[in-house]
Amino acid sequence: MAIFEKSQDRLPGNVETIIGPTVKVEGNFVGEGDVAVEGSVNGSLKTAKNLRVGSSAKIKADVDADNIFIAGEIRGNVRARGRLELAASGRIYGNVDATVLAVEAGAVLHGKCQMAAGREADASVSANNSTAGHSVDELERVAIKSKR
Amino acid sequence: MYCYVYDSFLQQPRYASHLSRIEVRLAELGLQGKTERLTILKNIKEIVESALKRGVDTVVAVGNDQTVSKIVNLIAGSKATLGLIPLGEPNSIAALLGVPSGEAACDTLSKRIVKRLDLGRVNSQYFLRSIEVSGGSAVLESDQGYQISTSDPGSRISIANFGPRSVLEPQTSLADPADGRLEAVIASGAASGFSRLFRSHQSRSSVFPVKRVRVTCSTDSLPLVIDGETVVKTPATIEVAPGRLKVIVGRDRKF
Repeated sequence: MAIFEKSQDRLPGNVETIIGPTVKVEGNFVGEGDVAVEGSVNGSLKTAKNLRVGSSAKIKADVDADNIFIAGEIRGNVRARGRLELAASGRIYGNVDATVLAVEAGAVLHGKCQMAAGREADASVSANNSTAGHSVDELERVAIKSKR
Repeated sequence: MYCYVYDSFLQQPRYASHLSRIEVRLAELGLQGKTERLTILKNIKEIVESALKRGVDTVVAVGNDQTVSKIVNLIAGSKATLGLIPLGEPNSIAALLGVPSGEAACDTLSKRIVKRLDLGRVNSQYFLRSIEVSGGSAVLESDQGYQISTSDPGSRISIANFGPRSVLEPQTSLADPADGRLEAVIASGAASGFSRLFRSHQSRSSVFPVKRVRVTCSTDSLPLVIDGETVVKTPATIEVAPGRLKVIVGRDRKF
């Protein structure tokens, strides 16, 4: 899967914070640059830029980053403002919110998945619903139009 | 006005010719000033404090890394600028600042490229390069609401301001002394067996940018080695002091 190989190359390029395999972080970690995790994190993990979760990483935390690549385990909700890539070895036990989602065969995802396009469609549907009097066919047409 | 502080080891005869060439070059460049020679009887603190009171605007450390470290502590936060004329070994600070050794350093002083550098501060003591902590039982508590610990008892922790991030990894990228923060680096100890063959030090290291961090140890009091010289004990609070030092640098500086 070329897409994942590219991601592995891209994310660690200029990493500001590296949480190595023997290191444990507890509490609310907030980063400003790219973050790479190979160790443990308990609490919450947020960064303004990219996050790479390596295959040996174990995260029990809500995660928030720009683009996220996951090859390890996350127990918590994951929010990617941009792209979320889940590798074959990746495991997420929590809800996922992303603009773009890529899941490799073999990955584990236990939780609800919400995407930006879906949110816009929901918003349109509820807005139209509030005006009342629309048929089911009309609502479906609105949702399809929003997705486009 | 310049004040040249000669370290005590420069009294050795082998440095006499170097010093005379330096003095000639300084005179040629019009950089004359008061020369203070450190001896057992002359305290560096009194010399530098007296120079600052006289309104000296440039204190020049003539010697090695230890000379520079001592003077950094005394002029940090003052209006004075630090200059270097490296002589003797080790002189890694001068190399990082791009200041050549001996006579050539006089020309760097004359060009006077002044940069403001961050310093690290532990308790009330300043440091330019880094603090090293041996032993994996140390815990780092960041003021940003998280703490860092390691399961590797052989790991070494360094809090770096300038230069190599860790003594275990001198080949890795350098900590920037003008970014307003320190870098906490946890490097795993010597690997054994297969892990030594297949895993590099770099891949096992952790790096955290920090502004203020408290180093504690639940079981024992650990020694913290400041710039490879002075030792203090845990618990200790280490923080960055942004732009606290004005220093004359060369074109080949490493930041």
